[in-house]
Amino acid sequence: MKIIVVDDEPIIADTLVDILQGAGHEAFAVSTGESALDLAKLMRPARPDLLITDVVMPGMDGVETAKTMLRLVPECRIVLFSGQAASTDLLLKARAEGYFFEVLAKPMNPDVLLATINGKQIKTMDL
Amino acid sequence: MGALMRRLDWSATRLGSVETWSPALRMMVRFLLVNRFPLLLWWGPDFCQLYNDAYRPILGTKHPQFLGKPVRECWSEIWHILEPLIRTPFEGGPATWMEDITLEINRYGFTEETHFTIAYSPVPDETAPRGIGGVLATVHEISEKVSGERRTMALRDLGVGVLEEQNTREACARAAEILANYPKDIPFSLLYLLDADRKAAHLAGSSGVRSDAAISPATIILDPDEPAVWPVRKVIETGEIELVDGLKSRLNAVPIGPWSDPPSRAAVVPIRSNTAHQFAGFLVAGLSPRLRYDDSYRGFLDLVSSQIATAVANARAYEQEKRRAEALAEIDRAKTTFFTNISHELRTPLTLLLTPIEEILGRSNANLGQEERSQLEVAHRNGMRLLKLVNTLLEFARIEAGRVQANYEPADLCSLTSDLVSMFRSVIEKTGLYLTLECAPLQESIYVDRDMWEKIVLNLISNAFKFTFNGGIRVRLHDQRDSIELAITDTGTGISESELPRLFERFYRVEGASGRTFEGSGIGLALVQELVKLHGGTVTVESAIGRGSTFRVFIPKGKAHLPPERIQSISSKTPAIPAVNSYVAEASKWIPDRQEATIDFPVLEEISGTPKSAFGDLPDDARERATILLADDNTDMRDYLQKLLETHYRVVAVSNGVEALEATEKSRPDLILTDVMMPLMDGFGLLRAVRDNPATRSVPVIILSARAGEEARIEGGDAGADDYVSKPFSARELLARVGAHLKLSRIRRNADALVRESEKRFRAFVNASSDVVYRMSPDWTEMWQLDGRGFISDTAGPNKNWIDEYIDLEDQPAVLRAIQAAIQTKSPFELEHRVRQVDGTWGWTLSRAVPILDENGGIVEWLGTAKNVSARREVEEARSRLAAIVESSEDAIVGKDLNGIVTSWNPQAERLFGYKAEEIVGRSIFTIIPPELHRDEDMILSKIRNGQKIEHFETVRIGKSGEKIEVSLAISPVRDGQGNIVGAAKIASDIRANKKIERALQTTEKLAAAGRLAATVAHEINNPLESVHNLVFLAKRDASNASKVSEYLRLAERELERVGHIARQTLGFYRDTSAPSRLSVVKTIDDLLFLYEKRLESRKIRVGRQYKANIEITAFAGEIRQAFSNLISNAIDAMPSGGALVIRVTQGREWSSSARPGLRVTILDTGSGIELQARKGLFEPFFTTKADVGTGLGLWITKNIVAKHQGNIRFVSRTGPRAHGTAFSIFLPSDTQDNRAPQNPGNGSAQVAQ
Repeated sequence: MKIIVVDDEPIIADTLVDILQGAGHEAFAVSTGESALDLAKLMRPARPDLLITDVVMPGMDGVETAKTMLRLVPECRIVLFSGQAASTDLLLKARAEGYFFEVLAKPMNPDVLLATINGKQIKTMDL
Repeated sequence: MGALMRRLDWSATRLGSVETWSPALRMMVRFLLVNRFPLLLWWGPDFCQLYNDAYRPILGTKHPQFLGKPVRECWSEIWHILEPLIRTPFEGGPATWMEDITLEINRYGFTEETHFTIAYSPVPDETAPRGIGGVLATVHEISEKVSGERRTMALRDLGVGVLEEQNTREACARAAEILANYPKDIPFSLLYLLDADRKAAHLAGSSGVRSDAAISPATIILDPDEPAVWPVRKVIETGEIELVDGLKSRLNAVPIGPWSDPPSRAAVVPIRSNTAHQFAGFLVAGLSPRLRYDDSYRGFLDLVSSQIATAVANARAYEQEKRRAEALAEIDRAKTTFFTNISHELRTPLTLLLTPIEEILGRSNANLGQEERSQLEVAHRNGMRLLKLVNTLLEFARIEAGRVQANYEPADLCSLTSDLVSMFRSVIEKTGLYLTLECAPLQESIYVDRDMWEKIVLNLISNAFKFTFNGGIRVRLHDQRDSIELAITDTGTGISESELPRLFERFYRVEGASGRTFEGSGIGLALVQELVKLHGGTVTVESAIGRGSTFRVFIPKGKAHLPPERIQSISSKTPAIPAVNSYVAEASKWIPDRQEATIDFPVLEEISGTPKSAFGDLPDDARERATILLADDNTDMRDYLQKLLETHYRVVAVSNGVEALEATEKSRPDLILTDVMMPLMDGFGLLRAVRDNPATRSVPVIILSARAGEEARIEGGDAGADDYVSKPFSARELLARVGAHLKLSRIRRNADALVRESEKRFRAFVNASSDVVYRMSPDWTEMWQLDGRGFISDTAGPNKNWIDEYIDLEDQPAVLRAIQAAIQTKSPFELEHRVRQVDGTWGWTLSRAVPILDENGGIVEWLGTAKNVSARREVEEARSRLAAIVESSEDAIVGKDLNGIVTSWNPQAERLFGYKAEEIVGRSIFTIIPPELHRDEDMILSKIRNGQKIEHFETVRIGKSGEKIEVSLAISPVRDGQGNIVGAAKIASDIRANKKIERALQTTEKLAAAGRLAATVAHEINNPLESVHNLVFLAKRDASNASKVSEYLRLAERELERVGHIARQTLGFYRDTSAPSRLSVVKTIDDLLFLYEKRLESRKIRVGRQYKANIEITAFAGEIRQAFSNLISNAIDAMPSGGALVIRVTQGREWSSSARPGLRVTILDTGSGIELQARKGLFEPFFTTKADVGTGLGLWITKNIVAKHQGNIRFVSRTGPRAHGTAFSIFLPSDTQDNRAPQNPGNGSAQVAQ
């Protein structure tokens, strides 16, 4: 599976990529939403299957990144992960626009993450 | 004073040198000198006086010469009063105590009215003969208070007494009457009002002086060459009070006031009017010889004058309103007069027309063909209709003018009515309608004027017929005990309920009613009503749309209600057939099968509104005067036409367009008849040239052409030809068309002249009015003209934007509603609304407009006037505001002077504090201030002296029973007429209940703030935890690779350190800081910025730290942190798309007068700024500009925290396109007052600076 991981804290993005690669995925770490989109464009024609992104980030936020990604690669699965209540506003806004994203709360157990992306859809976090 | 006493050579006084003074005297002198209350010591048998600094002002110029001198020398003028008061305690009697003793003393070179409260008590001295060394006097001068109260009473009496007067002179006379009750302040008064042309002033009221005295001329001419008794011109020029001295020498009879000597000075005070720089008049006020003319006296005179000014302005407004109503009535009268005049002019030519026609028609042997006869009949019928209309108008005008001479005679109303009804029968039944009459013979004769009764019946029947197409008309005559009822019921179209009330109004026509004809003057029913009134009766109507109407006329029986001189005893039985004929003839014309006959004569319809000259061209001699310009290049055709036309007109014949144009400009033909195809200039070219020249534009042009067909016809019409005749044509047809156009053109010219004339009259009327005048299009979308009269700006041409230009957006809906209502009902528009004045500010106007209707009842335009009522509105609003405050307020309202002495105390204040007004007025405000807060009062008074207001000042007061009352104070300076601050008005509201709620709210917000902080912290902790989770996972996975595991653990350790750091930062927020401690504000802010770092970064907000001082303050650390946290968090929320946050910490002093040293922290953001309307409530609880975040308590809490630390907070905000943002500035004293711990909330203040 081709996975892009976005987090403005490199250590989070890097360790996640390490974990995902260890599980046999092709994962890439970027630190901004903009570079995630650039990367997705470079990956043509092979498209990313999954985008894992932080929500509150400098520049383009996670929700905006996810929305743009869906326009670019409609079949891409999106998982948002956030450690902050402030992201609630962004998610509510996205929901009002008709986007229902899967959301994981930080900190998350890597085993859970791996199980999630390999298997069933995760339950949308209660807002 | 001490120095002065030391310097004095006491050995020269009767007290002897200081060494010889008894210990008692020395002790008393020391006591005296340090005391700040006015004290006076009379020592020894001669009562030598010693006094302290506070007493000096009471002595005036008697200081210092009378220090150490016997009191009888110092106060010789009142020694006869003082002596017994001093001697009694000195000789062992009781101490003296007198409240408000009136003394006429001379301390400034004139005898002055003063008031004192005094206490004289004996001072024991063992060395003195009788054991009493002297008398200690405690003196409190209350002159100002006494005169102040008297003046307040005078002003109140004026306010109550004169404001409702409806006439300026009465208002002035009443004001003078009231002033007569206050001779101690105004020994005499003269009130003069200025003429409208401001050339003379007339005496309108006086007090304390005979009205024919030399000083009070009935009229003062404002002529520079004319010597005036009073310097009136100067007062009017400068607008300032003028003093006139030496009255005794200047004027031979100065009126006597309440004192032994008459006033020698007077003040001439201007009385302002509603118009700036214009005065309504002036007040001459005699000045008391016993009072100093100081600021407060001057202020009093100003207030008196402004009370009178208000009364005069109110009365003027009332008078103007009355005059305006009279002017409107005058317009109505003018309209009737106009119609009367026109009608009269019409009647003569009409009669001259109708008589010959009747004569021809009546001649049995007349040699008339069927066609001619029917045409003459049409002419006759229309002539009769016109005559009837004219007669009705004249009749109406006569009634209006009271010139109608009714002749009441006993009539058999039943037979009279049935005669009238039967005349209509054939006409009505011809249309398939029924007409029934129910009329039982009446028992007695009814007194009516036969002509009038006929008109009543005929008008109502013809009206019913006009609007009934199916069914019919029922006429009933009943005996109704005291009166006779005539009921006429139709099954016609009916009248809507909204129209019914106006139905009997003059010139009122029911809109959109479908009748047999559009003809009508709107005057028939009005006439019926007038006629019925003349019979002492009434007329009513019931109607329903689609069902029909019933008109009922009630005529009283007997003759007691009629004027005896107009009653005839015998019935004349004269039939009035001509009138009936005209009604029936007119009605018969409405029947369709007869209408064909009138189609050919549309011209006659138009004639009905024009003067007699319009008819003048019908006889042959008139025709010959008309000049016709004939242009045709074909000689034969030209000759033929010339011959044809010459029998009736003067003809100028030319052969091409150019010649025709020259001839047109030279001889001004009445009509141009031109061929199309001509050399040099063709017919269309000629037509355009004629139309382009304003002088010839209205000359009718008929085009002759061989090019028959629609195309050419349209071409002719497009170019503006009046008619088009294609060749070949019959001579008769051509002559008919030429004749018709000549006639039309004359009518048009005459009508134009009439319109111009009427417009001239309208202009004159408009110019005579001082109100704004305007004209609007029928639907008000366009303003045609507005004459603003310097009140609002003018509009000269059509203006579709008028509503935005003149009317505030907020008021537009109301104005538009009123306009719609007026348009729908065609009734006058009337509304009082705000309007943009010439200078751009908003004023108030009373705007009224009437619709001008055309003959079909359509609106042609609206004429309106707008009156400037701004001044009246202001007075009304100010008054109602004040009244509302005082009446409805649950708050205590207290007045005090600049020394903190209570001057007024309302019932609510009595309730709140427990003191009765009479207990506390005159006492210090400190009575209700807890001792520890006395410094507050100094602060309040210093602000008041600087003219500042104090709002929402929350503090504690003590009631009479000693309980603490938490109040919120609003304190404003009170100014006299000059703008000098003379005291303060204070509104205190009991906020004990509010305080409880407030405390609960504070707790809520603390919890919410903690929650918000926790959320922020959670994120900061969650991120490192996420990393640690991942690292641990990786370490487990790669457990065999020691170097990798060690790297993972190193990174995990670093992340955990981050968590630890954040936890340490955060701990401060939750530590229970119940006691204040020393803390560094800079460090607190840095800690906060660290916490908010992520949020700041994610918003792309740059942070500027400008720390210029790092002083520790004593404070509750948690609270200070919360205060700054709120502000920083707000700043971040204010900049959703980035910006700059600047935090500046400087050393500074408090803004207020106390200038305590401390720290100023400014937190500035570059957000969008706070909208003006949001600024006021910013520090109120539950106030928020953020829609979905925040509790709305943050700033309120911050304010309270700052206040608790005896600091203050204010802010500046800008919302401009380029310069925008908000800066909060907090001052925290470096050391709280008296080293006390920060106080309970409520002692600081929050201010708004914008």
